[in-house]
Amino acid sequence: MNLFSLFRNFFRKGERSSQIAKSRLEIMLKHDRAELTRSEMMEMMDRILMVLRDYVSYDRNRVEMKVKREKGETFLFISVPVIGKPSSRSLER
Amino acid sequence: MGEVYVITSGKGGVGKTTVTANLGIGLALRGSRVVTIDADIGLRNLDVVLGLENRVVFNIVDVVEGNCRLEQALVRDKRVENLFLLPAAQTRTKEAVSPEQMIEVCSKLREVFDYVLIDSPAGIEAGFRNAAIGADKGIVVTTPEVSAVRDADRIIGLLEAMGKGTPQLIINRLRADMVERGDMLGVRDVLDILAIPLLGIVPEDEEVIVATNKGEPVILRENSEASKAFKNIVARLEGEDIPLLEFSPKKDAGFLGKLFKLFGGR
Repeated sequence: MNLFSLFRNFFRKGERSSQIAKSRLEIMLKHDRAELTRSEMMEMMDRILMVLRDYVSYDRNRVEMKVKREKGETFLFISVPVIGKPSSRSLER
Repeated sequence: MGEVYVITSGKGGVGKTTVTANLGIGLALRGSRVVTIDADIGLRNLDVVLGLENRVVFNIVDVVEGNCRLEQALVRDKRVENLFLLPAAQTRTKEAVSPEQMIEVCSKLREVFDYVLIDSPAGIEAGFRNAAIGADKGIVVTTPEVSAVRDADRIIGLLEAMGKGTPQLIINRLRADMVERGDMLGVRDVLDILAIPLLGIVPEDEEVIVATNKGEPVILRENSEASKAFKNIVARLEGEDIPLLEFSPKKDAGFLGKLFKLFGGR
């Protein structure tokens, strides 16, 4: 990297366009691979998390979903950082 | 028994035909018997990229309709021994060859040739499926652009679902300078997303356009980045372990140095 591009990158505002491309692709392919629209996927996540809420408490902001494809099969991965027991267990009724 | 590869991409214009032509010549130069098939019926181009358009007499549709024998339709390359082309028909549609007929053509050719390379049409419909159905494995070509990578992902899924295994990837038309300034997806980015084995990287090179103008595929030129890239891909196809970074041994740090950056310093 020459001095000029170093200088320019340093002062460049915002994200690089390649990073924008990558994150757009990641989102696009999640929907393409799972064959779920954005709203379907959000609805599914909400329903899954609603069930989980009865058993564990978790960090909503760090919930992640990935869709991977392997040998012609599609796998959904949902990672939920568990903090502990739910504060009020609706199970104990 | 030869191996049958389909070269495909989903999106058009990413370089499937250029890749097919160059790999065909490269493999034949190393002594293999090679036949390239243009499966893009109605929009034939492989003959033009190979510079063989004036030698086409019969085509694949003539073969399946019984107008000629398979051997009669094969066009022999004028520069490289052991390289042949089975041209597409220009005035017919994709339906002119059935999947069963395609399988039969492939199985006949693999008895005689070491490599059968099928240049697939763009798209994910019948034309692509026909091109892929007789193949053992796939080579997916993409450029480092959002639209091309998205379509490549789709094609990878379709090839796997067709039982062709996980295809190998060629990233075409990479611009090291743009990757360096963060304005083009790098090799690592594309591999993170598509998660399939990398067969090779072909840099953007004006020589490719000059080569196509003349009908002399770029791999026949000595001093071109793209030519070196294609030669390395050919060597890898033949089982040689060629490091990805070594395809551009320029004296100055320029291109090689940039390539290291493309990989994130790996």
